[in-house]
Amino acid sequence: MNILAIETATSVAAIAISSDEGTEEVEASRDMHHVETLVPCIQDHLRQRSWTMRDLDLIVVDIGPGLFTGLRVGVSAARSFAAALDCAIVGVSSLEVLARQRRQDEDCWSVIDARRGEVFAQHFLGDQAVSDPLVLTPEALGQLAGDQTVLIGDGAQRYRDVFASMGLVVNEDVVTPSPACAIELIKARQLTTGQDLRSIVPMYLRDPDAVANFHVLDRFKS
Amino acid sequence: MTLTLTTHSVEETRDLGSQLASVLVPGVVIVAAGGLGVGKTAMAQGLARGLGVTGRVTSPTFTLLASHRANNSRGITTMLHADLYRTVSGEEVDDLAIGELVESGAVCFVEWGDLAPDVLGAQRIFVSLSQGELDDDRIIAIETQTTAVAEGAIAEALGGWSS
Repeated sequence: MNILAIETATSVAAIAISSDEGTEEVEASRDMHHVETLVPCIQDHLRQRSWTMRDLDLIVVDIGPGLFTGLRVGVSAARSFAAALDCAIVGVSSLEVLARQRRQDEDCWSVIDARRGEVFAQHFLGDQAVSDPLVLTPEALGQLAGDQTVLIGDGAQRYRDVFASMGLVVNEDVVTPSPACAIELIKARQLTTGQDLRSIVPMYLRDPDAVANFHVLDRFKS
Repeated sequence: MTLTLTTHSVEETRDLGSQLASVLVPGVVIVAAGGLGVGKTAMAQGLARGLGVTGRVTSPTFTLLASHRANNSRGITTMLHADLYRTVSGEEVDDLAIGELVESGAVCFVEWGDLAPDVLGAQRIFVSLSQGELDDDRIIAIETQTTAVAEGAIAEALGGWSS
């Protein structure tokens, strides 16, 4: 089975391409140039295998939670490809992919930088999520997490000083979700037949919070 | 504390923007308020010059958000320039994700930013422009809502325009 996985939930964009011979993972961009780099990266690596998009049987996409600007790039690309190719698609959670990248016997919180002073976080024991995905401040997460837990992800790294001051351990080896790991995850869950395309939407977690004062324009627009 | 300054021409407003660039750090959003033709875009052009942006800077009234590569010694790699005048809802402003984008080594100048200041990140400088006594005079009031830039540093950089 030929699978393409797309990862854009954090400041690092990456893809993985998998066939019966194995899986190759490639980083497309490190500095939020996801929209310029993602599709050329896919094109290059399909070409290296002498594949076209039509050789793909399944598209796996990270639906977040993560950066608003990144997720829109990855999810819209994945959905467009799936619709145009009539190919199966499946969405995975960034926090679940991260959790799969650590030693499975560790009690862990996956933590992704949400910017604006907050993180996205979820608690895992073994391969089971034991909390909902949350959006909260690093301080609030520190109070929620017990001292037996290990924090992973770019949010854990960014706020390592906050967590260290609260006596929590950050595993610096697991930083951003791996698309190769996303493929392993959907295989383990036997989701390779795909999901309804319309159900593949970004998981933002935050409510729209712009309370706009549009009356300030009235006197100029009327 | 509000710093109140006066400029006497469009060129001076541009120069003031350029000087303001010299105290900025990555992550800061300038929330610009003031009516049509009062000099918001001129100030943005000056800011771009001060940040080492080489391309042409025009008001992104219809594109809503423009991204310019910047080249300076302050670690600011991108100048974002937004205009909320054409936005019609809070959700549309949210969609621009300015508070998120600015954390990638950027600063952002937001025209009509007073429409939705709450979603423009935590490090904000408010700039309000208004008509002065003479036709070309502009009163520019600056208030910082950030610990990233000291008010004293702004006052010192812009001291030449004190009212």
